[in-house]
Amino acid sequence: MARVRALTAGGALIVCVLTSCVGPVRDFGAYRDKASSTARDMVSPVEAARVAVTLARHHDAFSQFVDTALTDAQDDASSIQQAFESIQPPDEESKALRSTLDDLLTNAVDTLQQLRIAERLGQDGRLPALAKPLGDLSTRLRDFAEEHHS
Amino acid sequence: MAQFASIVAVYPVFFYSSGAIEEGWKREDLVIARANVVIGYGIGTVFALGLMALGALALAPGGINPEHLSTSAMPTALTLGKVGLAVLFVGMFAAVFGAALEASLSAGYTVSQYFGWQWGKYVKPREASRFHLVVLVTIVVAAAAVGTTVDPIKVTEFVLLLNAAALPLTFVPTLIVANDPDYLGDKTNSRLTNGLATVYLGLILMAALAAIPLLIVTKVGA
Repeated sequence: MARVRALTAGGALIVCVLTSCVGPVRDFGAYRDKASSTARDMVSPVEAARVAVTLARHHDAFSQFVDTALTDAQDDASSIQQAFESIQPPDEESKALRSTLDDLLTNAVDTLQQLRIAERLGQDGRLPALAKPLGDLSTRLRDFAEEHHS
Repeated sequence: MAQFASIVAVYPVFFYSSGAIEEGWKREDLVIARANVVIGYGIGTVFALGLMALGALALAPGGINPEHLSTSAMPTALTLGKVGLAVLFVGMFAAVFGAALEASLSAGYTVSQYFGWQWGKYVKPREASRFHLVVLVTIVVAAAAVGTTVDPIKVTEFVLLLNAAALPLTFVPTLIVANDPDYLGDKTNSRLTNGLATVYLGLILMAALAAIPLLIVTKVGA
């Protein structure tokens, strides 16, 4: 019986790690760490989308490839935002931090969504203009990650 | 560690040895087998290092984590444009399709041989039904896993680290057989090969000892 329980617990742990489950956070320090790593993680889809737009602008990639890259970036960004929002802030200080980061995350997800929609509609010409905020957003996400890194 | 384990996996040992039996390899086939190892692995290693270098130059400075095939292909597109991308797609399709066939066939070989069932891709499905069933079920289960929320990259990293831990258990028996004249006649390992194999065994033993602690400490690279 104990062996079955140990195997079940081990299996659950593996599934949890592989599905990127988010654990509970009990104090501001731990919440700040999560916020910092979330900001750092969000840089990746934002920068990937910027590269995809550069490729589209220079006609260095097929439109289906750009579409896939932007869809992947948007999916990743949405998952990162959802994972962070599922964490309960433990105190008022954490709530303020959540609000600041959530603005950045929402901006990123919205911009990536607009890019994906424009690409699907075949409006490649609009991509550079739509992607313009991403550079600044990427810098702000990095700064946030750096500032709150313990 | 995962990169190291991806170069030498456990399942190809079963895949190639079963293939050798099925296709009735003879002494003269050793030349082709050795050429496959030297040329094939050599080219593969150069390409893998090239892709890793491109990734480090083009993706790492931007903080891009190549978690999708689309992001992995970006450095090639940035460097070689659409033509490079088209060539890469053909290579990716061949690699992914080949790996799916290798992995599913290897599952069929290992399970069937362990239970003593009739096996072989040249044996009619009616005569080796359980072997063919295992191959098909492996493909279906793998395809179903893709449809879940499980991150395929993390699954791959997890499996590669487990593979690193299991590697000596496959390598040591192979090395013993490679020195047994009852099996190999006058084609047993030379002193040089045994020397290289011993160094390699030391490396994979270190990798095996480090694999599980690394798996826990890094939370599978999370």
